[in-house]
Parts: sequence; C-alpha cells; structure tokens
Amino acid sequence: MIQLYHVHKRYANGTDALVDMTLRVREGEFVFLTGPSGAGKSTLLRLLMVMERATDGQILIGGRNIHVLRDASVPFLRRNIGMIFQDFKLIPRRSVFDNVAISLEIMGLGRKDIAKRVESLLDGLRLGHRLDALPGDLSAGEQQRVAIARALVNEPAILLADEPTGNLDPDLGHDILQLLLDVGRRGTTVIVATHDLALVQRYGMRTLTLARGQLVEDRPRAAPLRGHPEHGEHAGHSYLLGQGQAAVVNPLQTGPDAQAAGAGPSPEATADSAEPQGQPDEEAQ
Amino acid sequence: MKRGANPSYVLRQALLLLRGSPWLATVSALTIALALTLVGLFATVMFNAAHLMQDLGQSLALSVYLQETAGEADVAAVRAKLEAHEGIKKVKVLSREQDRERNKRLLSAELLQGLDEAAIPGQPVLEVEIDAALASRGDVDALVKWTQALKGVASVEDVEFGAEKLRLLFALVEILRTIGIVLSAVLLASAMFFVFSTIRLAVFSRRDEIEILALVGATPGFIRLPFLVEGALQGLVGAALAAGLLGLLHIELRGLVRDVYMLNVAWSLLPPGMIAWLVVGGPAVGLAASALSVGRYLKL
Repeated sequence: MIQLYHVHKRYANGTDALVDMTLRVREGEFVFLTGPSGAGKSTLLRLLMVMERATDGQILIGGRNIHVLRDASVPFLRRNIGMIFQDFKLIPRRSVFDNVAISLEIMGLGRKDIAKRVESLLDGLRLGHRLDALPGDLSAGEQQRVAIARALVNEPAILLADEPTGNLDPDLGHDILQLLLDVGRRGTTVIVATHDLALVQRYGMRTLTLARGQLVEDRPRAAPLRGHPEHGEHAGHSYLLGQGQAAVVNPLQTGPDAQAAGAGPSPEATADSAEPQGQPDEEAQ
Repeated sequence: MKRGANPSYVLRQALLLLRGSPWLATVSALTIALALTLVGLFATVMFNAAHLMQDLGQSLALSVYLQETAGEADVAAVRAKLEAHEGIKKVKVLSREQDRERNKRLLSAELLQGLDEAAIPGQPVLEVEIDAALASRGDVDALVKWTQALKGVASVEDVEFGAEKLRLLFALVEILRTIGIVLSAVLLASAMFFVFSTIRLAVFSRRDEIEILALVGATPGFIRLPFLVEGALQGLVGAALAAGLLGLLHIELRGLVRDVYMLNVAWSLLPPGMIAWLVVGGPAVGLAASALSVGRYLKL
C-alpha cells in the first residue's frame, strides 16, 4: 500500500529531515511510527500527504508514484488518505456536523447523502447529540473524535495520525487509540506517529522507530498481549459500529478519482459493519 | 469524481464570509452602488446629449459673405469649393440684390429714409446647409477650421458660422464626458479596491480553514469559489442599490425635466438596457475584484 525507496527530504534551511528511508507498509496494516521529536515522523506523514515533496527517492501509494504526481491530482489522492492531527485542525466557525461533512462536500455529494453518512458516523462516535456544537464547545477528546470522523467519513484507504493523543490525558488517549485500532480492524491501513513509547509498547503493533531522519528499527507486530482489545471479551466491539456505512455507497468506489489516486476502499469495510453493535468500553484493559 | 461543489454549500460559505466582515462588505456594496449609479447616469446623459446635438445640428447654418466687388466667377468658384466638401449638404446663393433686399427688411424704415438705394450694403452671400450627421459626430471642429480657411480666399470677406456657439456646447459636453469617464473610473476602481480588501481580509482570517480544506482533498477551485461568490454578491447588492437610486432619481427628475422644452423627450434613467447593465456590471465588478484578491492572496 505504501512504499518508500531511498527517500530523502532536505528542507530549505539545509536540515535533513529524512535520510535514505526505505520502508513498506502493507494494505490493512497498523503501524506505529515512533522516535524522539525531530526524528522525522511528521515529515514522513507530510510527504505521504504531499504537503511536502521528497528531495530524492520514490514514494508509492497504492502503486502510484507520488513523486511524479501533478499538483492538480494531489486533492484526489488526499481524498483517499484521512489525516488526524495533534491539534485536531477543526474549523472553529463550523459546527461539528459541518466539520465532518466537509470531506463529502468537496466531492460534490448531495445534502441528504451527506447528512445520512455524517450523522450515522457521529452517532457511532457518541457525538450524535453534538451535531450543532462548535468545536470550541467540545472537550479535547470530543474534538479529536470529530477530527477522526472527518478523516473517516469518506472511507479512505489510508489513515495517518500525527500525535493523535498528544493533547489528551492518558485515558482519553487510550480511548482514541482504541478507535484507531478499530479503524485498522476494518481493513484501513493506519499509521500512527507518536513519541509516547509507553503507548506503543502497550499495543504491540508493528513499530517503526526513527532517529535523526533514519529508520533505526522496524519491530514486527508482537503476539497480542493478554487483555489486548483485539482479544477476549473486547474482540469485535467497535466504536465505529452502528454508523451504518455498509448501506452507504462509497463515492470512492465508483468515482474515477479512486482510480486516479490509485487507492481503493478497504475490502473489510463493509464486512465489519455487519457485526453486532457494541458499546465502547471505557477501559479495555 | 469531478462533481462540482454543491451550489448551496458555496452560497452558504459565501454568506458566512460576508458575515465575517459586515462593515467592509457594506462599504464595498455602497461604493459599487455609487459607481454603477454614476456610470449609468453619465451614460444616460451622454446618450441624451447625443440626441440633442443631432437636433441642434440640423439647424446648423454657415454663411459665406463675399466682397462687394465679387463677380459671378468668384461666386461660382467659392460655391464649387463648398460643394466639394463632404459635410456640406446644400449651398444656396444670394445675389448682391437679394442680400440688399434682405438687409432692407432687417433695417428700420427711419434709418432707411432718404437713403440712396445703393448705399444699403449688399454683397453676394452663400448660405450653406451642413450635414447634421457630421455635426453630431463631433466633426464640427474640423468644419470650423475648414470654413475659417475660406477667409483666406481673396473674394471672401467674412464667414459666419452658427456652429461657433454650438462648438462651445460640444466642448462642454466633451468636458462633461471626460469628467464622467474619469469619475466613473475612479469610483469603479475604489469600489474594486474595497471588494479586493474585503476578500483579502476574508482570506487572511480563514488561513487555517483554507489549509484544512486543502488537506481533506478540496480542489483549489472548491476552496476559492466561496470567496469569488462573496465578491460577486457584494456587486449584486451594489447593483440592486444602484437600481433603487436610479429609480428614485428618475422619479425626482421627471417632473423637473418635463418643464424644460429641449429635454421634453421620452427618457428614463432605468430603461431595460440600464437594468441589464447593472445586473451584469455589478457582479462582474465584484467578481473581477475578488478574482484579483484571491489570485494574489489565496495561494494553494
């Protein structure tokens, strides 16, 4: 799904943010990207979002070389990549509903379609009662859930999260991580950048460690820990269930942009939605 | 999927943008209204002035007085010269005797009493009718110059041209036209400047929003459209205000103008042509200004 070959990124000030980076993330994989501040985690995500262009090397997303992607095609690539930020990046003047709806508005969907999809997703994220609230009126955890909803509402093939728990207290951080794991279980390729090693170790997913712009360790996914949310009584419980997305046609599946961006929707996305609805657990471990 | 932005979304966002800086938007709309009103007003005045000039041009007359001593050959020569000019429609010749008769009619009887018939002045006169179309085209200046040159001909004593006064009127209209154009241009430019500034402010205050939209995959067109529509809306509001203003002016001026004989013609400050100009011109001015602002400040 994501391949980097000898990628180098040097900023205008001469800083080498990424040095000869080669890595591969398979479709549907859940990956932690970790390392100290300035290691190049954010730069890597920015390159994948084409917010920056690599100085050298090749980046393939869904088989498409984004090194040669025209500027005009960038928006269509981004529609297949959801992104979550530490500072949420919500539009303060727009309601919760409108903040999430924007991902569908840009694709020219009708109001009814948009309302149906946004409301069901926000319901699933326990935000159904805050549709008209402004982001400023929400708690940090709620804001991040809105940001996640915005990133997921058009069912992207890839979800990138840059320090998604950085502004949240540990409990809320855990809550958000559960959500991202849920997304991963639905077949979406997820990359979570975080410098929180405790968080990374707790889940035992594949972990890429960066230092000074280089990949210094690629630790494969460990056997799931006891009590891990993917195990035992919590398995199958999903925050995202009940959003009814299986009944909604993904515009990316039918539109030419899906092909243009070279990435399709996750194959498990509809299968998972058929699971019974479950209430989110406040403490999974 | 290259479906365009939802019109209702674009309009909603444009209205939100307007609400973001209501005072500046109001000033922009007012300036556009003022500029459009002035341009419309001047266009109407100039249009009516052209008609008036044509009417006046029809009564244009040129009289060429020859020397008393001028003979038949001189008369014929000057006549040929006049008739050769494209702006001259008809030349009528008054003989020395006919001119004397006319003068006799013009002078009072007491003055003529005991006067020798021969002492009454009389000279061959050529009365020239000028093509009205030529006059209204503003070629009067050239004609005046040409007739003045006639004075240089030996047999010509004097040239009297009724257009001298008309020329003044033409000059006056010309000055008015220039003032109108300059004033309209200045007002239109300031209207555009206000719209430009409103849009710039809107772009600056929404930097974060623009960045977010780009990140979720909005095309540059989708991001820019509400800003462009905001400018066009300011122009539309300005046009509506201008229409109202012109309508009021029309009602106020109608009574006043009816009493003036010269202008007692069918006229309106708000004919269909004017409404069409406002409907197109207002949004076009707003759109042009916002396009300039967006092009300059909304870099993606």
